Amino acid sequence: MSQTRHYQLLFNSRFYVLLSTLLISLLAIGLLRLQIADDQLYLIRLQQLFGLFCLIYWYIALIISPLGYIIGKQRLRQLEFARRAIGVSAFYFALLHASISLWGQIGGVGQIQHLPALFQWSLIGGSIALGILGVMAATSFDRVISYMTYRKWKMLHRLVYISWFLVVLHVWSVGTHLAYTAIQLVGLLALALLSGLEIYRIATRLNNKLRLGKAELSGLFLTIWAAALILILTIPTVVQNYHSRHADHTKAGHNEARR
Amino acid sequence: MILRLLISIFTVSLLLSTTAQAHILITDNTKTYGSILHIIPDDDPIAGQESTLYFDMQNRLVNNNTRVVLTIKDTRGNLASPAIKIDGTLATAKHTFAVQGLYELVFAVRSDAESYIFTHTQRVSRGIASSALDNPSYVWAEALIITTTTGLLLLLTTGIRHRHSIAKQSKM
Repeated sequence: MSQTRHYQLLFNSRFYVLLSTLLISLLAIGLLRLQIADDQLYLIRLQQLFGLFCLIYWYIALIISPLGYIIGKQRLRQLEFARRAIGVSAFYFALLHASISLWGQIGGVGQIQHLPALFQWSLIGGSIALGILGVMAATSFDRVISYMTYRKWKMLHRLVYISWFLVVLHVWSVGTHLAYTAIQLVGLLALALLSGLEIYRIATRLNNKLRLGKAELSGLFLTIWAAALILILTIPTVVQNYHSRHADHTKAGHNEARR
Repeated sequence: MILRLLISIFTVSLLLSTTAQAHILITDNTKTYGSILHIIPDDDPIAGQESTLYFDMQNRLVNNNTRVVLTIKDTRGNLASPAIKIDGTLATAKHTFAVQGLYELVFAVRSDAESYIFTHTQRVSRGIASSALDNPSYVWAEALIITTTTGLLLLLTTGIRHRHSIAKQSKM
């Protein structure tokens, strides 16, 4: 006897995530238009807001698995099910962010050559991340997964970590929101939390082979996490930040004036 | 390693004191070079308060003889030429926009025998106002807000109504 799988759109959480994403983006377009009269400033704020939305959705999609590993997959099963839609939403916001930057602010692909070098490098990093996110969004359907086989699909979707790393660099090098004190602290804590949860998952899985004691496992976890945190904290010394250069320049100017 | 960590923490903390910034690409009159302009605060100057203008030029435009002259013209034709400080490819000026309105910012970059003009129109819509700026109405934006808010509320109520079926579907 064949079982019929009852499937209705209104019973699917992914439908709600995707539709609410579309409505939120349209609401943001309308709200900002009413608040900002200047077209240039309107595009800047819209681009910033969509970039921020993309980061939030992407972060949620990334943290679901390691969080579920710790607190139990059953507790997060609804979020886990909706994760693919959350990822697609992140791509949608990233696409809006990139489109407004490219055609709204810069004035088209041809204008990229007129950007300072740091912006060009940052845009390349952001574009690669967007491309990877796009491939993942395009392969986030059941039919594609069964066509690709789950193993290959999973391997492809591990590229998310590379694209996330590129986006962190992109945001750090030219990102506007990082200039806010609160956003900087939230960003740092968010990265520390995400890396901590991921490393805990990796360390405990590794322990299935190593069979370490509790204290040794804790030591292993803390060591890798500390290394990851040092890596995060060294980004400012390795990658140039556009705004810190301006802050230094202004500071130097003030010092000269005092003399 | 500890020293590097401390430097990193210091750099992060130094950045904590900056205000929000964004960027505008301006190309010169010959469409050969580009520069990034951004203004503190928030690319949205406040009339009556000092703004800092950062003009970041492309490497290939700048050499040892490069000079930058900034001229700011308001709608009445009043001109101002704030002092410019150049450090590498970055030119910085401080200026207080007197009242709200439209200002034409002209950056003249002179390098050897050549000269390139970068023009940008800046709207100042915060701070001291001599006369109200024309505020265009956007009926489409109002309609969009009403439609999307209604849509979101409908979606929310539908989701709450079907919450048990949604939870069941998520287990499959």
